[in-house]
Amino acid sequence: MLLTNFRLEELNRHYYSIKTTQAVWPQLLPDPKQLYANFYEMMHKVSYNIVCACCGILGHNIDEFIMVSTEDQSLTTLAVGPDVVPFSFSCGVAAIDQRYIMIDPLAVRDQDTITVCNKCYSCFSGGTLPAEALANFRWIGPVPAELQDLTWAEEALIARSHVFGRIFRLEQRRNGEPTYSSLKGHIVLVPQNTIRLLDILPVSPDSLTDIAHVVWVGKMKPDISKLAPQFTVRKNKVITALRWLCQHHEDYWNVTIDIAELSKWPSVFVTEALLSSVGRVQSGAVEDAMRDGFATEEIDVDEFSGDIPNTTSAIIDVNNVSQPQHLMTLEQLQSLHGNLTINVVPGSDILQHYKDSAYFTSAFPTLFPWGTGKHIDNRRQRSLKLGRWIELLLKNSSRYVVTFFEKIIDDIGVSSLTAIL
Amino acid sequence: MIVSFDVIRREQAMTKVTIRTKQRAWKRTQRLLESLTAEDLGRAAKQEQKYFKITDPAILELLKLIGQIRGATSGSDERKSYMLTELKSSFIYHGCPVIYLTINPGDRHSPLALLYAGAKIDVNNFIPEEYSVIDRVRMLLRNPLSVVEYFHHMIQAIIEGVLKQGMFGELAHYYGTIEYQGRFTPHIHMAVFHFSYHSKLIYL
Repeated sequence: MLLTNFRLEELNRHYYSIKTTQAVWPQLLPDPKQLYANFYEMMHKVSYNIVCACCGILGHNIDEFIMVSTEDQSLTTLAVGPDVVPFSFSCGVAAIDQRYIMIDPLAVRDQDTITVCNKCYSCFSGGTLPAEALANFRWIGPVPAELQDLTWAEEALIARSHVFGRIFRLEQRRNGEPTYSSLKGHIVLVPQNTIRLLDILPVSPDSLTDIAHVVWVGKMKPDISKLAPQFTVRKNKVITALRWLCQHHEDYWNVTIDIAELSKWPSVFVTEALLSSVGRVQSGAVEDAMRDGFATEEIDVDEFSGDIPNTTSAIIDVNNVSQPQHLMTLEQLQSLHGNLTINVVPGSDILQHYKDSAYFTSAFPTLFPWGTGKHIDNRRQRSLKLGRWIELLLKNSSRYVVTFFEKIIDDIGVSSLTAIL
Repeated sequence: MIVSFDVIRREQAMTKVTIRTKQRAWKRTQRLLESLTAEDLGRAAKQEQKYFKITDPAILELLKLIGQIRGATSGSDERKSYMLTELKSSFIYHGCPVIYLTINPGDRHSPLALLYAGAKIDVNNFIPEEYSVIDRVRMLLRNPLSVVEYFHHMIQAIIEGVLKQGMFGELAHYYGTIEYQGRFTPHIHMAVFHFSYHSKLIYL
């Protein structure tokens, strides 16, 4: 009874609100100039590059950061014993360096002020070390000269594990022609043991064929000598990089350098095994046409004139929505059932490879030159979730994680892009 | 980046599986699943093909479990169908959307994206001629995250500064999904609902 009364009241209110809305309809819309002003103001607020001293992220919204004096007493929370960190972490500000406080040097504005994001500041001003702080065993360290300018092949040779494969699409490109980086074809994935960490390095250059594949698009046969710069290995570079890693990288302490393997290498060579297994596609035109949209012309190009070309569109059922909902699942399950035995072991959790703390640091030695800043570290006061750890790395002021795209795309004359499997 | 996405997905799925198997009802489910054979699955697949209802209780249980696990994983079909249901519900609750928007910010032509990618730009005094197309694209390719951040801030500004301030009347609700072009740049499709006198009528 009580409930009905409540409901009745609510419905009445609704009815009257609808009635009033109806009476004043159509309502006047706000001044569009004001809307534009709002938009303009908001976009201007985010047009900054600000680094947080504590967690090292690169932010853009000026409201999310505050200035902190370098003399601030609460900064002491971020102090780290210099004997725990393998490299020097001074930032050039005396007031901070004397107290062994670890901050991101890019966040220093001048000798008196640094920028800190609100979240970190509210945490460490209360006396607790933020989980995200660089000082919370998240330091990564500078990349030494020995590890800089390595080609992707050299990097792959010295990595202890390979967690992704690469596909290179190479093609002869004429000027002004739009090109697409996509590729279509059949791929056979052979299960690999990505958990295994290699203890004897470098790996043989022949094994690069397991982790990379080259596809050539074009009618002409590829000119191997032109492709060579992408696939060159410099023996000296590999040796110095490996030696450096063995001395300084946490995960490389047990690694043996394979002198016998190295002695077989000439001083500079092209990974022949990779180039001799090049897959070929005669023409990419059909595939490119699929991706051509309504306006493929670059509007900045002066020669462009006339109508924008139209293409016909059609509906393609990419997600199998026309099929019954569970059909695909059932068919997949059916194909599994015949040759697969599933053992259920009750009790303990299954060990996953991402629970290995060296999983990322040993796969990307050039990104984590000292092996520090792992996603799992028992010494951390407050642990970090994997997703958060990755987010922080991506937003890091030096943009560590994304730099490996550079080398591949920088090449002039030949277009290529990696697809990471 | 992709590696980490993979790892996170696997983590999501595994956690779900572990939780399921720890539940009390699992014993019964286990017996059901063990009784399944390939023929059962084949029969169910045939039923599904003809849009009949699946009758086998073991199969239904199995599908339910798979759905629950996949629903938690980002990007899966299950997740997409879940989103579709969410959108349908908003249609029922708020009435017909006032506009269906597609926003595709021109990252290649934006000084802001260049700024995020690390170019030294004076935002108030920008000279476009200093950056050629090739330079811009190359710079953005080197720093894909800057494109995503630019997209995020742009959409945020449009939603907060324009839509919520009542461009089409008082905003009731919006629902959008992000998709990626062939060159992996994001765009958003969004249905915008606003309060009108006939909305919520169905609800009443």
